[in-house]
Amino acid sequence: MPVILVSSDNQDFKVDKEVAERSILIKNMLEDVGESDSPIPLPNVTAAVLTKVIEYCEHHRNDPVQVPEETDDPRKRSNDIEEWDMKFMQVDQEMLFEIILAANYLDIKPLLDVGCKTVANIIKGKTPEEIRKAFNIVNDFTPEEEAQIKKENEWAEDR
Amino acid sequence: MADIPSELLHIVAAHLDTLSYFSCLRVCRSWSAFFTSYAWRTIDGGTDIWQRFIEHSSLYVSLQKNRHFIRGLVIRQRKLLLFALAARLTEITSLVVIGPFGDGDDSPQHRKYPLNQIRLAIPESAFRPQKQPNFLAVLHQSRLCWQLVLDNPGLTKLDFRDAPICKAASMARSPELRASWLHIFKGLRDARYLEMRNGDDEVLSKLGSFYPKIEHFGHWGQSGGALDTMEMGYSKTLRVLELKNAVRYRHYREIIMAFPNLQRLHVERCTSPLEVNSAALEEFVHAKLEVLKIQDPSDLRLVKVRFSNIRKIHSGVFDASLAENLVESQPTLEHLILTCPQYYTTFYRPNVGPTELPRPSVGLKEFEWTGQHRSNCMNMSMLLPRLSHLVRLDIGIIMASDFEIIPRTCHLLEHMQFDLQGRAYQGMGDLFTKCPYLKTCLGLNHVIRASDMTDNLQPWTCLGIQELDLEIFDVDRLSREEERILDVMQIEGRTEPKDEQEQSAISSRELSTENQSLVCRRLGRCTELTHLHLGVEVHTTYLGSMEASEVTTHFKSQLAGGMSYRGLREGPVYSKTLELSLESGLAELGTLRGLEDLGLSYVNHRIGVDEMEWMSQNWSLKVVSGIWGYYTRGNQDADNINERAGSFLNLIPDHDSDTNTR
Repeated sequence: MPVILVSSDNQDFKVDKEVAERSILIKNMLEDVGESDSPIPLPNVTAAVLTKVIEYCEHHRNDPVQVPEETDDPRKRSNDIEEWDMKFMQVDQEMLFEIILAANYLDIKPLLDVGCKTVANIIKGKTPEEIRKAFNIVNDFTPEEEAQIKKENEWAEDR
Repeated sequence: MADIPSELLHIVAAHLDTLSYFSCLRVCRSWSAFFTSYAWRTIDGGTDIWQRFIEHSSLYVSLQKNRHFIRGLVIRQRKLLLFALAARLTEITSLVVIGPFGDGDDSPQHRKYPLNQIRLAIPESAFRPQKQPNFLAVLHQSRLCWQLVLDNPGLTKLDFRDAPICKAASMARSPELRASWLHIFKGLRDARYLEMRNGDDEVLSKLGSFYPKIEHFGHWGQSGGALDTMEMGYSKTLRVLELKNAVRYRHYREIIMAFPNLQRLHVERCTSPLEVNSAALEEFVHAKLEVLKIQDPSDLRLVKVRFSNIRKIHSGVFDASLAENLVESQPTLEHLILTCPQYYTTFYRPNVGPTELPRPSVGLKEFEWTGQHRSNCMNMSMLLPRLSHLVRLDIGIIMASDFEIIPRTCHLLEHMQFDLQGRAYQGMGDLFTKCPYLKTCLGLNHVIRASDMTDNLQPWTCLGIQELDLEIFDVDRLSREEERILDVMQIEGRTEPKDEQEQSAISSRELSTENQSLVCRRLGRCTELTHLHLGVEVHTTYLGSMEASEVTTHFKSQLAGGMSYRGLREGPVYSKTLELSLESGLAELGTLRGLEDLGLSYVNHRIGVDEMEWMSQNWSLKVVSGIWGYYTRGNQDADNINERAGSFLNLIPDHDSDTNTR
């Protein structure tokens, strides 16, 4: 049975229940409401973002439920992203950010993880200036502060 | 991105490394505040970045400034230990000390460290004097390490397993000393993981009341009277207990009873069996333990303990009847690892007396021998017929007569590692037809007859095999005379025989080619192969005099323009092995796309330039061993060898040395 999702800019999306339920938020809503064909409003997600999110959920509709791995060892944490997800995440900075926020709001843990891993992979190996550039972050340190923080952490730079 | 909610930034941070944290904290003010705590959370002296930190001059200032962020310390340098103490780190939850320290002992050059700021509450007398040259340094390190523990009462993990420290002095003599050690030990109220190099029995006997959250306890202390009452030790949280010392039998039982949720127990060995009166004991069933490591597991009967859920046993005893008793008495057992003794003894005892009826099979999935001396072997003839669930067999030497049992019983085998003692033609042939799940079959002397590989009535079923060591023997090959005759015909450009000799050589060639193609075709069906070694183990003595006489050198044409072997020649070559030439069916192996590792030691191959080119085109070779040369026809191939076979030649030893060929 299809479910109708309504984006913040009032576009309707008809998706399979199985696909919609990749979002724990929607899954819980459907369970609370019971059998009903009334549309589900998603006031925090725009149509453009919702299209991407649904594309992800369609592709991963048959994935087994993730077992969270608890590990404190950074070496064991995998930053591997499977190929399809990697391609899926090749979007502009703004969209990447929106997808992460939407995944957080809709409670789609695997998508949230892939999004955050993508961000992490962008950060890795970059200098502070390159990170600022990559994410349009304004350097709000005073020159004195910046000199100080650079001096304190110089040793950490990869040589 | 700067305004990303911090809850999401935490998820991003979880996927970053220390180096990135230090870049991030220099990006902007909000990130600086956020990433500083990540950057300083764990200082691991084993990693490059923290080694740079430790060598850096502002080490002390940085440690002091960030002391409230530091939760984890992995100490591998004396300098880090000293400065951690000097900077008064007090909020560490995880402390690991690994010696020997990379920056050496206490030497004058370390005097510049701010030692005067370190207050050591633990006296030298708290440690046992040892006769070792650098004892004073070790003694000092011991005091430093334990001071760090004393400073950080919030430790949940303490690992002194590899710490360069000495043992605590005997507590029995001095009540004061005992009190001060117990004060230190008891201070770790939140401990979940403890590996104390100089723990004490008293701690073990009160483990549960000292450490209400303890999950892992490793103990190196002396076994003494303190274990007589384990009541205070009772702990439902303990999962792993490792006692790296001998325990008396009577304490062994007490310990097992004190920890009902124990999953893993390692006791070095047990002593004083006469103290136990088995008859007076009631059987105790422990339902949680899964892994037991002990010298002699049959001890359990003496203390009347049974583990109803045990999965894995490591035993220091190497004996077939012990193994059989264990699988018999512990029906849940899946993995059995026996350690071969260091000293040489022949354990193989032939069966005597009437053959017993086969007994019911048991659930063992993994059987392994460890230890240095893998030349010992045991009589497995009673055990093997019962191991129908076996998935992995990793043993040193197996007698041919025992090996023959495997294809009859162990049809679920996936991984095998064994050296065959003697010949088991039938068994080797059957192994690949009866064990469809086989993925690896490695070891020496896996001799199989070529005729067993060409028999269509016995097809191989293990088509998913990935790694295979095999000696294919008794391949139909031409005699040297026949090779010479064909060589002459080739050079003279004739295909029609001019006499009976030539006719007979041509027939032999056809027969040989056909049979080798069949062997190759069978191997070619194992499309998952990544490792294929067709070598003959040259040091073995099993070759009979008949076979030894067939040991030959590589063929070299006596005529200009004939086929000649070019390259190094190592040792003898066994003539009745696969040629691996395109003429004799190498192309049947074109299905082995994933083949990375090819070994051909002492095989009388006929690999030429065409073959090398073919192999590098069809396989994914990364390692080639045992090929020291190749064949060329006169000089006609010489021009474009590197072009055609260069990538293959790069994998084998220097091939231009023509001097060793005969």
